[in-house]
Amino acid sequence: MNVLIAQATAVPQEGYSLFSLFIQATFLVQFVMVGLIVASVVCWGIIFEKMFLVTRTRRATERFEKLFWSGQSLEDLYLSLGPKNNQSMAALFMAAMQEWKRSQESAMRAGFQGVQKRIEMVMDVQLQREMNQLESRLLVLATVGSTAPFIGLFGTVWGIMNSFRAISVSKSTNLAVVAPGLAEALFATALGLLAAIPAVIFYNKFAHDIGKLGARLENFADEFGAIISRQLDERH
Amino acid sequence: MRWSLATSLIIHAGILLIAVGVFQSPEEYVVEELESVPVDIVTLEEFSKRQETQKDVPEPEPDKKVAPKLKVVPEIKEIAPKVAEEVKQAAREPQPEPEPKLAKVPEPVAEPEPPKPEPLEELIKKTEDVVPEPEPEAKPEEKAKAAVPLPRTKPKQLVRKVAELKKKEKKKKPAFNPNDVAALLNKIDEARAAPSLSSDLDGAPKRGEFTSSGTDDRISANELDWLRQRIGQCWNVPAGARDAQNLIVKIRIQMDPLGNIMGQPRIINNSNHPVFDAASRSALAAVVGCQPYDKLPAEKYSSWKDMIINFDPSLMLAIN
Repeated sequence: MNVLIAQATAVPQEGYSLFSLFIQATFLVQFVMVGLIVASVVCWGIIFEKMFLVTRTRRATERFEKLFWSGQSLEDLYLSLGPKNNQSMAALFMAAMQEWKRSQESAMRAGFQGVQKRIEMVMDVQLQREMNQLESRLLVLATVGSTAPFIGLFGTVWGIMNSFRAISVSKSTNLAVVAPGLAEALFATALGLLAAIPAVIFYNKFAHDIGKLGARLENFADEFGAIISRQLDERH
Repeated sequence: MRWSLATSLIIHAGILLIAVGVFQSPEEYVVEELESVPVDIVTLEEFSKRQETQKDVPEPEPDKKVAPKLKVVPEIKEIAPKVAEEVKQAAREPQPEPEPKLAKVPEPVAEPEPPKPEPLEELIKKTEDVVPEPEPEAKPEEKAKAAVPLPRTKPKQLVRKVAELKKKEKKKKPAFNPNDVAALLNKIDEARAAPSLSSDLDGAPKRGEFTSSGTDDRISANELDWLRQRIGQCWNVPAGARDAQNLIVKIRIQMDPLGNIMGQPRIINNSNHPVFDAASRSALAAVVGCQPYDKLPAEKYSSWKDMIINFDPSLMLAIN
C-alpha cells in the first residue's frame, strides 16, 4: 500500500539559535525586530541621560538652596556664581538678578512698579526653559513603552500568518513546519516587551522625579519673587 | 545625549552578543521512537477465512522417542500423554465447524445440540491429573522395579473414571451424544491393549476439514453492489410491476471472463402474476443491455461466471 506522508519541507537546516531565528524571518518581521532593537537602544540612551540629568539637577538644586538660605546677601551670591552656565535654581536666580541689574537705571526714572512684573516674567521663562530641558525626550520613552508591545505583536501576527501559509503550502500540520515560524514570530513580541518594559518603568520614575523638581523650582521662583517684592517696597 | 546613546548602544551590543552565544540552537528533546504498526485492511470475509485456516496450525506432535533401551516401563509411561492426546483429539473432533457446508454433512452429532467442550475438557484435566503421577523424577532403573504394578492399575482407574464421568454427563444432559465418549473409550482401550504400537498414535492429529483454497474467490459486497446498481440503472421496470408484491423474476446468466453474457439468459422461475411476462421481458432486456460487466474482478471469475439474478421490482424501487 502506497501511503505518502508529506515530509516537513519547510524545516530549515541552520538550526534554531537566536541569530538563525532572525535570519530566517521574513523581511517585515526582520524590519520589526531591527526597529525594536533600535528603539530599545534609544530608550536606554534616554534613560541613562535622564538618570544623569535628574541626579545632577537635584544635587545642584540642593547645593544652591543651601547657599541661598545661608544668609549671605543676594549681591554676594550673584557675584560668587558669576556668569558661568548655571543650572536649574541657580539659573533662575541668575536670570532674575540680571533682570534686576538691567532694570535699576530705568527704575530710577520710571519707578519700581514694572520691575517686579518683569522679574517674575523672566523667572517664569527661565523655569519653562529648565523644565523643557528636563522633560525633553521623555515622550520618546512614553511612546516606546506604549507602542513597542504592539509593534512586536504585529511582527508576531505576521510571522504566524506566514507559518500558517506554510502549513497550507506544505499540506502538513506537522509541528516541525509550524514551529520555526512561530518561534521567529514570538521573538518579535519578546523584543517588543524587552524594549517596552524598561521604557514604561523609567518613564514613570522620571515623570515623578521631574514633577517634584519642577514643583521645587516653582516654589523657589515664588519665594524669590516675594523677597524681591519686599525689597522693592522697602526702597520706597 | 551622545554619550548616553553610545553607552546604551555598547550595552545592547554586549547583551545581544551574549544572548546569541547563550541561546544556541536548543538541544533536541529525546523522543522515544514508537514502532510503527503495519496495518492491513481485511474484509470480513477474508478474516473469517483466515480464522478458519488457522485452525490447522500443526499441533505439537506427541513424543516419538519411545526410548528403545527401556523396554517395559517407558512404554507404559508414554501411554499417559498419548491417552491424554487421544482424549483431546476425541474431544476436538465432534466440535461443529462454522462452515455451513460441513453442517450439511449428515452427522447426527453436530446439528441438534452441539456438545459443549467444557465437560470433555474437565475429563481431560482429570485424566491428566491422574496420569502424571508415576512420572516425576523417577530414574529408569528404579522405575523398572517400582512402577511395574502401577501402570497396570492406572489405565483401569482411568477407564473407570471415564466411565463414571460418562454416567454423570449422561445424567446431566440426556441430549449428549454417547458416541463421542464411546469413541474416546475405544481409543483408550486400543492404547492400553496395544501399547507397543506407538506408530498408530504418533503423528499430527487429524486436521479439520476446510473448503477454502486459501485465496478469496468469492465476489465481494462492493462488486455485488456495483453489479446491482448497473443492472438497476438499465432496468426499465414496467408500469404495472412497480407496486407489485411478491413478483420476482429469476434470471440465470453465464458470463465469459470479459463480462459478456454467454448464450441466452434464461428465466428460471414462473409465476401467474399478471405482469410477470412484462417484468421478465424487461429484466431480460436489462441484463442483455447492460453488458459487458467489465468491472467484475477477473481473478474471481469462477464465482461469477454462473449467476442467478433476482429481479424484485419493489426492492429495485427501494434501491433506486
